[in-house]
Amino acid sequence: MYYKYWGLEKPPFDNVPDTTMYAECHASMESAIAETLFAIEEGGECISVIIGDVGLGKTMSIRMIIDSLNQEKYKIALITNPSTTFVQLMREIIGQLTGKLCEEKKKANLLEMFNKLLFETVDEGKKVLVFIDEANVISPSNLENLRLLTNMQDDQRNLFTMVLAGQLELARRLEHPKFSNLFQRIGTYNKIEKIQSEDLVKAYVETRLRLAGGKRNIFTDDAFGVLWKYSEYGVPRLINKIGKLSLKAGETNGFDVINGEVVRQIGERFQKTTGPAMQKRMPRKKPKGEMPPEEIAEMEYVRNEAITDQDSEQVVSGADTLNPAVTAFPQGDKVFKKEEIPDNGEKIESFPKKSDTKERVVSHGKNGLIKAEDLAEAKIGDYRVMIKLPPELLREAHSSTPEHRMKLAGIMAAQALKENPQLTKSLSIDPVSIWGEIRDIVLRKIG
Amino acid sequence: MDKKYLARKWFSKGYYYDSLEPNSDKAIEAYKKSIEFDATLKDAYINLGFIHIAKEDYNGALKYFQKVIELEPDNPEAFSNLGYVYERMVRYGSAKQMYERALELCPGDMESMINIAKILELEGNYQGAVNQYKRAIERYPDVVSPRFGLAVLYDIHDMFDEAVEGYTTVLERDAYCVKALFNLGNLYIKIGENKKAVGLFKKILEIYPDNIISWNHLGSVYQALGEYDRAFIALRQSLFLNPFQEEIQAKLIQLLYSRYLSDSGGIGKEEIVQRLQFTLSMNPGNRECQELLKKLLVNNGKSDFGG
Repeated sequence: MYYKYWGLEKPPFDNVPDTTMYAECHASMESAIAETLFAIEEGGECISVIIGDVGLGKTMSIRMIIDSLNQEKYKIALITNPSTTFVQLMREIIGQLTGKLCEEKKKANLLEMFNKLLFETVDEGKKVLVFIDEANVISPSNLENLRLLTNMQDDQRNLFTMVLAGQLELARRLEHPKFSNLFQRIGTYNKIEKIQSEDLVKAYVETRLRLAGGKRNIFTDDAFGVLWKYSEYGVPRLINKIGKLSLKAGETNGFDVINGEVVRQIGERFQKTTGPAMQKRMPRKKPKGEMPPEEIAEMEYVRNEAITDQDSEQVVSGADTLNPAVTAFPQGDKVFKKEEIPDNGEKIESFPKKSDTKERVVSHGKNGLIKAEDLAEAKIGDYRVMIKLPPELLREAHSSTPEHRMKLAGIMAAQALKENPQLTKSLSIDPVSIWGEIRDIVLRKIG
Repeated sequence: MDKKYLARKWFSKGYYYDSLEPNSDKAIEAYKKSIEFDATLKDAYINLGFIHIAKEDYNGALKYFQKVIELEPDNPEAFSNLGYVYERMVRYGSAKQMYERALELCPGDMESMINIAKILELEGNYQGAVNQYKRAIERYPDVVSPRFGLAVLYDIHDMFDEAVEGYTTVLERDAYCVKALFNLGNLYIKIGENKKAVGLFKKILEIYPDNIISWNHLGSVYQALGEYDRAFIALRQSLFLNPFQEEIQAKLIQLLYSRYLSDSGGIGKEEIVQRLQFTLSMNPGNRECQELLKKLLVNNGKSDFGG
């Protein structure tokens, strides 16, 4: 393992929840975890808030808080995407707390159920905790509804704690005068910051290396500035990623230390890669119909018969509903495939004839009707295409320099190429040269 | 006429419409009609549920899948489908309950095990998800999907060695699992094992010669390895498939320009100029291309660069 090469006992930069790796590393995250835990375990506060931008460790903080709690003492609901209606939110919270599906439809009933649940939980010697991650996407009205939940407190006892974690937008909302009532109920309010300087990045990296069992300096001083820069100026998740990749590269290449150049190369490299492809989430399979198309055709007959069929009238209430509009039902053996259906969409099927009136409409474009005079015909290879010449670009072209006309022709040609993908199907002709051909045609038209 | 027979006929008709034009109103109408004849026709509710999923009407889908559970309270697939709907509604707690119920009804069901792992993952419960995937792998050591799920989880969390091992074990079982080839190739780029990445992207392109991202990655890897001719071929191939990739055009232009400066490969200035003009027609504000074009047109390209 790469970390052993560096004399470490465990990986120092894993981006996974690990309570042993956070002491004194990222002060704002550490204090967010500690204060929220205190609010839950000791304090009588109703709401705790954790604010932080993407990648700064909000979700990991929540996970570490939950993992640190004595599970016997709490009933926990964790909402990871609250961009839903209040009713759905409450159903989910109650469902998680009770372990049973909740499909109650009325808000008043849901609030009543939640209230009852709070008292029952306290009577069991436990406390309800509701964690809401990504709370920045909660709508203002839902935020107000959540505030109403905080009214459900006993005078003597704190019945539940709600932890809201979200991006800066949440802070802006909570600090708005409109939510002053909610703001007053916030017990702890923590903001997780980026690691704000090269020196702090150095402290962060060296602390983590020490916590992983490191006995010596692995990164040279010039590495920290580069690391700070490539981690978007102190995003811990990125520092960890680059730090880990640097150690691996160092092991592969047999380095004694990691310097700024190694970190720069790693930073450049990972910026170019994409996230992993995932398996598509799907439900289980659909049951199939058993009837072959021929029988379906027969069914059409049955259906027509059924309208007047006595038996059928007896089994269906309101016989008129038995006659769906099956206008496209295949007749006989002929079954149209979807691709065979004539396309009346946006494609230009025919060209305007010269004898047509000047303003003949030949196509419906996305932005309305396109007139024949706004089109140029071109023959490219085996294809004839119509090139759109938007009037505003034409006007611009007529009153501009040759150089600018060339640019405008290029833009119109690129548009034409995009709208006619058949032109670039052949892998033997460079699309750029096709574009050049179209541009020349446009130039002649507007020149 | 027998109600159940008519219900079945309407169901088949709905299925036929659905295959002809997926999720059409006519299919919905026929399925509903089948339910009018037989309110216990489970398959009709299921297919109506699927149609509502496809239309992203999850409340509608929920109604039908709940009905299936009423009809068949011991059907694990019904709970799986309901779990899926909750998952789409981002009600992960409810989704997990449904998948757990499916697993209770069909102990050891691999799909349910993976579904639970996925929910744990979505809830940010990394360790829980890892353990769940591992349980599924232990039970089904020869099956690819739990291994792939675990590898992706590691990958997302930058657990590079574990992810490499995970994808490798997937490929040992299915050498043509394209997503594993792609993800492993990507990972190798991240950890600087470019030569290994080349083999993987080449393999993907054997299967899907039109996979643009793989051509792009292959081009970048060759470039990183200093194999510029191969990089040129890969990027050019990608741009044949889709010329409207500004970043890739810019990369190819740089390669062409280097060749032009070194007088190798018979690259003419006109070719570079035309490609630059094309790229600028996509984005007239591309400063890098603007500057290079200016240099080529004004200074004949080589003077500023000692070529």
